Amino acid sequence: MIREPTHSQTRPHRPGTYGRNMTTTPPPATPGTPVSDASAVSAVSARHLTKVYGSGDIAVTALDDVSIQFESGQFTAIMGPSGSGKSTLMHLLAGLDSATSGQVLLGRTDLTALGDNELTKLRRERIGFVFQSFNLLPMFTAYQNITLPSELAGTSPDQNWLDTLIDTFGMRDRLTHKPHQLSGGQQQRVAIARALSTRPDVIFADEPTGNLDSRSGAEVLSFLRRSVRELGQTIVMVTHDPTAAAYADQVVLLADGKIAGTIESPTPESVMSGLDALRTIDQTAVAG
Amino acid sequence: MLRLTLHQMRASAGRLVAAGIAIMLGTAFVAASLLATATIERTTYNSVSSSYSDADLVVVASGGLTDDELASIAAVEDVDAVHTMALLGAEASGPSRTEYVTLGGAAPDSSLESADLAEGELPTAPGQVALTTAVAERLQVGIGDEISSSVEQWEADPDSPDGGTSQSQTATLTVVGLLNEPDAFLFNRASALIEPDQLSELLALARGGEPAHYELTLALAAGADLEEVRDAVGGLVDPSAHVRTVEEQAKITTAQLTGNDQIMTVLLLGFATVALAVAALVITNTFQVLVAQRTRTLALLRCVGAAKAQVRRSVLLEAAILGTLASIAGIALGSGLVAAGLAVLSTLELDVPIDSGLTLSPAVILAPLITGVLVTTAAALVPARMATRVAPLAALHPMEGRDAPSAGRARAVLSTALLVGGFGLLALAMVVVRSSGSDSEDTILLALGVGLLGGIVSLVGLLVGSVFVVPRLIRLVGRLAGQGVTGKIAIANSVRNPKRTASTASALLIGVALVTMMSTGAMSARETLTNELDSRFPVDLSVATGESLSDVQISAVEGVDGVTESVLLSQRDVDAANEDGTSTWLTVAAVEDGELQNVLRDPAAAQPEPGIVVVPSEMASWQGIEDGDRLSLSGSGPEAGSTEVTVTARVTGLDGMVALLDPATFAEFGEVAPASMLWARLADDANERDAVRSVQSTLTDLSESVEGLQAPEISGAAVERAAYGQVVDTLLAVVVGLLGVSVVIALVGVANTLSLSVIERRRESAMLRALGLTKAQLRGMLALEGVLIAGAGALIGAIAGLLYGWAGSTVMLSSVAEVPLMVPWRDLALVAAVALVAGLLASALPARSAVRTSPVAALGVE
Ligand SMILES: Nc1ncnc2c1ncn2[C@@H]1O[C@H](COP(=O)(O)OP(=O)(O)O)[C@@H](O)[C@H]1O
Ligand SMILES: [Mg+2]
Repeated sequence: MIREPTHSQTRPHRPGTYGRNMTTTPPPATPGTPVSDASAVSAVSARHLTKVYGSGDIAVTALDDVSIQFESGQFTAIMGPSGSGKSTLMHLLAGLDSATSGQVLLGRTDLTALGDNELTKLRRERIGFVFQSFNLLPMFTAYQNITLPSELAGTSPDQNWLDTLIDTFGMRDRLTHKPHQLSGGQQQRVAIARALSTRPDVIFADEPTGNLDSRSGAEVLSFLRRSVRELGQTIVMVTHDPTAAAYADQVVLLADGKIAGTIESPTPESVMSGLDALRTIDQTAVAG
Repeated sequence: MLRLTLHQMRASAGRLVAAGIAIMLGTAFVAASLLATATIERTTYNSVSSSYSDADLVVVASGGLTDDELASIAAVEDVDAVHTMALLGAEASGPSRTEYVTLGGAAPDSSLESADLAEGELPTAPGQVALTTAVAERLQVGIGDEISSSVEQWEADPDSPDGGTSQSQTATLTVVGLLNEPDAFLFNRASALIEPDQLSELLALARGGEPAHYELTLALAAGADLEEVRDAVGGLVDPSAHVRTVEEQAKITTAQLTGNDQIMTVLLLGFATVALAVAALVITNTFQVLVAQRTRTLALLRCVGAAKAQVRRSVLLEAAILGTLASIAGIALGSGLVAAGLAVLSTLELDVPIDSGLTLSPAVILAPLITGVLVTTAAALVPARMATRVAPLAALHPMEGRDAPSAGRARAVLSTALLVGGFGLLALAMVVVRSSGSDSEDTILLALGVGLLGGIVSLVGLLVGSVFVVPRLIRLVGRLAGQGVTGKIAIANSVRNPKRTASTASALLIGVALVTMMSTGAMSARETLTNELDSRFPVDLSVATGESLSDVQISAVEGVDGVTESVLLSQRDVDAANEDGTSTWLTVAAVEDGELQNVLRDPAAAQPEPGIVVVPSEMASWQGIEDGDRLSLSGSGPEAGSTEVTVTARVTGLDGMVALLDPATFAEFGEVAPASMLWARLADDANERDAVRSVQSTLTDLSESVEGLQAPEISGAAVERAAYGQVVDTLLAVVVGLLGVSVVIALVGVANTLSLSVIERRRESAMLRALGLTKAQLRGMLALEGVLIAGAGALIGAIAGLLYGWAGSTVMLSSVAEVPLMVPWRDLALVAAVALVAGLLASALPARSAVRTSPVAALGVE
């Protein structure tokens, strides 16, 4: 596990410093560059996203003018030191919180223009979530938990799709079990199946392996990857585990509320060195 | 430990406040009851002592004092004046009216005069009178006018069949003064004052020389030794008489007069007990949750060396502090309510002089305070024990997601035993009363005792067993009604912690059961009386005069809203010779105009036919007539012919002293007199009480405005029903209002439980919100949860209350008549509506805080 460096809000932003250390070329959607109005619409994109918590003396800029896009059918991991704004970015992308300024687009829908009820409706129809813990309703069975989003929307789930999911995740003989009868890994598999059940445009996962042992974690991550590879889903995952990030197609590095680089086809080693580079900057900043 | 306790209290302030409100309402109830009683007592005391004016001494002689004794008391040294408080009934006549007045004597000394002069002066010589303004107005006299008063004079005469003769003694009196109206609160108030010597004379006449003075007030000379005079006067009168100061006497009289109020205090305190019991349930609930939430802290404390006893003391201390604060607030609230009530009453210009100040005696403050603290602390005993059971190891384990343990087998057995036993006793009480058939008071008291015991035992059984019944009921109702995932979640949530849900519902159960019991009982009582009345009175409304009814009166009655049908009857007296040789006379009536069956409620009881005379049972037993007797009726009085008709008596349960004949037979006794009786039927949907009232007022107005019209006698089933109904409804309203307090407390409990659930399920709600649950759906879920909990309590309470009501009314009323087992649907619907609305209301605040939680809360770790 990486020891996350403490960060300082007043540290100057020096974009060029770590670019040379990247092992890969910049991704097609270059972080920080203006999002083009190309006909190929990204699954999710953010434009000049800024989030400030609090005001006055205690104001904290958690996100500072972030522009980024996530393509359909991609598995992206967001990494960065603690307090770098990973969770904040994900909350804004998922319509769970509102931005101070900037725009979030889900497909062609501008989330920042929506009210709470519209956002809620959008979440249950077009976005899936996997949380670190407290994922399932304890009084419902695994199957009831999987169909929860469509039930909330009042629609009937697509049975063929559900069957596919259940078989892909090997949950068939666990469907009538209550959460407390399942292991942590199994619970997380149910949560992923639930997130996929409505075929959302994108799935957000916040530290999905944070509460799991490494074996269950690996299992869950490979299921996430299979969702993308075999079922064509789009997943954005926040993690601070380089091994977990290595399952993704690409890694976006976040530092101090800004995009600090991306890593294509990551391996644990490349992710580790990317993070090391961030830490170096950090130490440089502290030293300087 | 105290510092820690206070710190924890601050942390859970919101929850404690909600629990505190429950105790506050309970203690407010106790305080208000005590205060109201104290106020009534003081008002009575003031009235009593003011009737003695500024007297120095009061002489009370139950055997009465003679005029001579009066004179000898007046002769005692230092006695300035003696005033008799004797009263005498008399008829007073003005120019056009006669009125019954109470004569009293004007006091010989102004310090003894309790009457309040409005105008003129008090009588100082025989032949003078002072009247209250109201009497003067009714007699249409003023100062300077004359009235005549007549007193019945009684003379014993051993030869007279009545043991004496009475003769009327008339005097002419000149009005010299007008008096303000005396307090209507008490006895002892004269409506006409005359000179004391004249009063003594009249008293002597009326009582035939018997001692007539039962109470005297004395004014003493300035500087007199009270004790010396008291002894001197005491020596002059019979040892059974008392010489007391006004204060002493007023205290004694007040105690006698307010003796009945003790019953009211006991009843009020009974209701307060119910409210406190419900509050105790709410408190227990709250503390259990607080302990559960603090498990971590408690375990940590135990880890670092806190002893079990310290943990328990900490919880109990918290309860005691809460109880103290809430009780003080309750006392303030109760006093405020009583003060507000008194302020309103004093603006109403009642005849009763109400002192709008509060009587805050130590008892009024200490009793609710001690009760409140004790109840709160006692209610925290179980949670405190729970707290001591927290193992130090619990600090090391994560707490979330642990389900509450389900209730044990012993509890199930106990509650079944209590329920079977309790309802068994209730049934036994009903069987005892029904089968014994007698109306002996002992049987009823025995049954009442057995029934009461059964009721309490079964209620305890319900409370103990609610943990099994309530969740099952909620699931059942949920399965029947619950569609959609939010419904399913709400139902699952409401039974997640069966014990908490059950005790929350139980708090409501108690109030609802008692309210339902009362309304069922009231309905049975009303119905029993109605059946009784229907068979006793042939018709809803009967209007009768000694002479004939005038057309204006007839059309006035027929014109009243709700009066549908009416018939006119004519009456006459006939001689009746029974075949067994006895003879008597009867008042018989027959229809003169209209169809009898149109107005009869129970045709069988009153339908005369040729050859039959219908005789009310009371009249029959009075006249020695039995059902089936052959009676020869012949006209009585000078104008009667020699007609003789033989009829068979049919004795029915009718009320009254008038027998019924068919018109043809009736006409055989000579010319039929104009109708003197009107029978009317009220429409089934008419407001009986309004109709009766408007008939009464119309006829009274007529008799006052039209010269020579007698006010007729109005009777009938509707009149009786209206009177009983009013009493029953008023009592019911008062009782339900009082029980309502416990329902309100229970609702505080529901709101409390819901807000605890909201806090406990914060992350779960946030997750649901993230998954697409709208704010409205979240609110709806909580509302449903509230409604389910409240509904379960209300449903069980209503069923139990219905059974209690049936048992109670059977036991208490079956000596009067067969008691029908009624279901008060309207009241039940009302209870259901209140429960539903209450559940919704109780969920409002918790829901507000729930929807404020951002869905983001689901994502992070603590
Ligand atoms: N609700 C909040 N109120 C105030 N500051 C917050 C809040 N949430 C996050 N922050 C701050 O915003 C910054 C980014 O936080 P976060 O997005 O949680 O970082 P990460 O998930 O990368 O650890 C941090 O400095 C954090 O203290
Ligand atoms: Mg985070």
